This record gives sequence, C-alpha cells and structure tokens, in this order.
Amino acid sequence: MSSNELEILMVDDSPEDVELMLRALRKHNFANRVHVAEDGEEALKYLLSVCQGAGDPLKVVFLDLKLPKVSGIEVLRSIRSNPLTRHLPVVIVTSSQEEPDLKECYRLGANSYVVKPVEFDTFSKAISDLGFYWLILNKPPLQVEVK
Amino acid sequence: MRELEIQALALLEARQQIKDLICELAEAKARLATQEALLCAHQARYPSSQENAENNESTSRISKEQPEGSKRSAPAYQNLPLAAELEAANKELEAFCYSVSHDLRAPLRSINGFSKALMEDFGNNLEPEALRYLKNIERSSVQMGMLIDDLLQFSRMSRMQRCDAVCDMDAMVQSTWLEIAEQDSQRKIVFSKMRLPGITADRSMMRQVWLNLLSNSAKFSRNCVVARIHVEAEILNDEVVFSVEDNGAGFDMRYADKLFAPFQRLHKARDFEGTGVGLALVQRIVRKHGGRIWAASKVNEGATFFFALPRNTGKKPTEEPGL
Repeated sequence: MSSNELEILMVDDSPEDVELMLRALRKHNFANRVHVAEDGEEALKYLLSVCQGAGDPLKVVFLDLKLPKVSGIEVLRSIRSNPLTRHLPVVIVTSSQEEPDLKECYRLGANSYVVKPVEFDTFSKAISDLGFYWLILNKPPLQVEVK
Repeated sequence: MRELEIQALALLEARQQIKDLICELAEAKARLATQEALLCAHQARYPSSQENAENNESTSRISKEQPEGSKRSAPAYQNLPLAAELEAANKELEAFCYSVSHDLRAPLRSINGFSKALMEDFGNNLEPEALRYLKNIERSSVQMGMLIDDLLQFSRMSRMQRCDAVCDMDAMVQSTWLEIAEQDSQRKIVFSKMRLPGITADRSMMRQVWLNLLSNSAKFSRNCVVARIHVEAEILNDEVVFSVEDNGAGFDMRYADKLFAPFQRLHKARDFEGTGVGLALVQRIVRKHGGRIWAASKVNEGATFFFALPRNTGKKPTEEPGL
C-alpha cells in the first residue's frame, strides 16, 4: 500500500465525478495512484507515453464512454489494437446502461462494465471496491505488457 | 469553509445543468409532437397507401416478402419522404433516451454526492437546520434518479416487441413472490394463491406485470397488522382474468382513472414512496397483449387489481404510441 506509482488511469471529463471518485479511492489510500485524463485524446497520449517508458506501468484503466474529442469506445478499441496495451485491464465506468453500449464494450474486450450509481454511498463503495480489486486482488501477468 | 463554498458552487452548477437538460427535453418532446402530427396528417391523407393501386410495384413486392408481423410498419411508408422523417424521429428518440440516461444522471450524482460530502466532512460545523436542508437535497436527488430510471424503463418497454412463449403463470407468481418476500424478510405477509392457468405471452413482460402488482400489494399493505395478499385466476369465455388482492391502504375509486396514467400517484410521497410508473407499465404490457386491466378498492380496505388476457393470443395487440 505504500506504492506511489500511478497505477490507475482515470478517463472522465466530469471534474465533479473525478473528485467524487478520488474521494472514494482515498479510503484505501489509492487516490495518489491515479492519473486523470479529461478526454479520449489525452488518455491516448498518456498511454503512448507509458508505452514509451515515460510513466509508471498501469494496472487498470477506468474509462468513461461519453468523452470529448475521442470517445471511450474509440479509446478502448485503440487500447485493444495496440500489442503493447492489448492485455491492459479496462473497466468501463459510465452513466450509460444502454444495451448497445454494453454489447459494444464487451465485444471490444472490456474487462468489466460498471454503471455509476446516482446514490453517493453506493457510488463511493463501487469505486473503492473497484480500486481495491484491480490494485490489490487482481493478479496481472508478471511480464507487464504496457511497458 | 472555502471548500464549503466550492461545493456549494458545484451544486449550483449541477442545478443549472439539469435546468438546461430539462429545456432540451421539452424541445425534443415538441419536435416529436410535430412529427407525430405529421404522421397523423399523412395517415388521414393516405388512409390505405399499402393497398393503394397507384403505389408502385416495388412496394407491393416488398410487402409480400415481409413476414406477417412486420407488415404494418415499414412498407406502408416506402418511397415516401415521410419514411425518412419517421426514421429520423426514431433515431432522435433513441439519442434522446441515451442523453437522458447519461446526461441527467451525471449532474444528479454530483448533487447527491456533494451534499453527502458536505454532511460527512463539515457536518459538525453545520446548524441542525442546515443539515436538514442538505438531507432534503439528497432525498430529492435520489427521487429524481428513480424517476429517470423508471422513465427510461417505461419508454424502452413501450418500444419493445412482444416475443411470445408458453408462460407458466403459477411458477412465475411463486418465484416472483419469493423474490419480493426475500427483499423484506422482516415483514410477515400472509400470501396465498390458487393454482393459476398457463398462458401464451411474452415471459419477461409477464414477469414485470407480476413483479409490479405484487410489490405494490406488499408496499400498500405494510401498515396492516397482518398483511394479506391473494392471487387467483378465472377462465371466462375466451379470456383468463387474473387478480391480485390485498388488505392494504387501498385508494379512492373517484380517482381510479388516474391509476394507470404515467407519473400519476394517488398517495402522498410521505406515506408511500414511488414514481407512479409501475402501474402505467403494467397497463402498457397488458394492452400489448390485447388484454384489459382494472381495479377495485375502498380506502383503508385494500385493493384488487384484475387483468384479463385473451386465451387465444392470435388477437392483435392494442396499438400504443411510443413515449
């Protein structure tokens, strides 16, 4: 738990949602392990820099779908089409519970799909559970593909 | 206190966003109304364009190739500019639903989240009255979240196609009831039912009917010393009439016409929570199956909901306009 590496890439254009998610992650002291990208383009740029060895290896991407410039679906598609990021866990964290979005995300290889609850306690719990699961419980392959 | 100001600002901003979205909602509704009016005008002008001899060949050929069920929808408007317009209206509706589910929910989460965060982080510095205001904000945002969810479910159901199969109503009622009873296991409710006949209908829709009717009965009987719910069915000519009876709060029959209208409620939110969508949804489903629904009640003496479904499902469903 002492690591200060940036292990979560959070892609979300709502500063309010980001703040609430960081607040939830603080419960497990994960908040300082998050890099925030506010649109799809920024996310792809950051991923590229990680691939080139500039950033810490990522453990998971929390990806919103409705984003300015490059949508979440497009970000997911490009993560999966790059051999360096193909196995990077991607969790869709979005407000949309429309069936076409769900289908498309799973088709493109999302690892999980979580609908952001409106109610604060449920939302906080969902996000801190996600942080705990992907940073602590989940075991990635030793050979980190991203770097 | 600086943070408090920031959070108050965030709340204000979220409120503005919701206002904007509500304006958009009204605009989209107005556009849809125009399109519906256009469609009505068109139907009045060309009452049977499908069989019309002057319609070109391609239309009739397409009609022949269509499966029976879809005959009414697409080909009738083939080659007419209206077809494009209708499709555009449909697309707009889809986009609109998406927007509602996403865009309305996001600021709502912010309102709910920051009022909770205010309470958690600064609750000690706030007057009891200020805390009460915050609780009101929070409660309202949760209520609006339920309204949005129900609205979406309602519009989705309205557009959904019926997919018929054999429904074992007896088993369905049993399992639905167990599900409801489990959610509220502290309460004691005397549940009884007679053996129910099977029927041909859309299973997931029928499940929704039972879920809504039974959970309504459970909700409105929660102030009874001993709550009783009874389900039965009777075969009358070519119909099966199902009924759900409870001994709960009931309602005033003078307002019975409002019972199935969406977002109409006959009870105060203070007494019984809800959005007023459940029964509207049930009515839509029953009508989609060519059936009828009605209720009988007396205030404080319980209510009985009846719905009749045709035993022969070849009957055409009652047409219901989309939301």
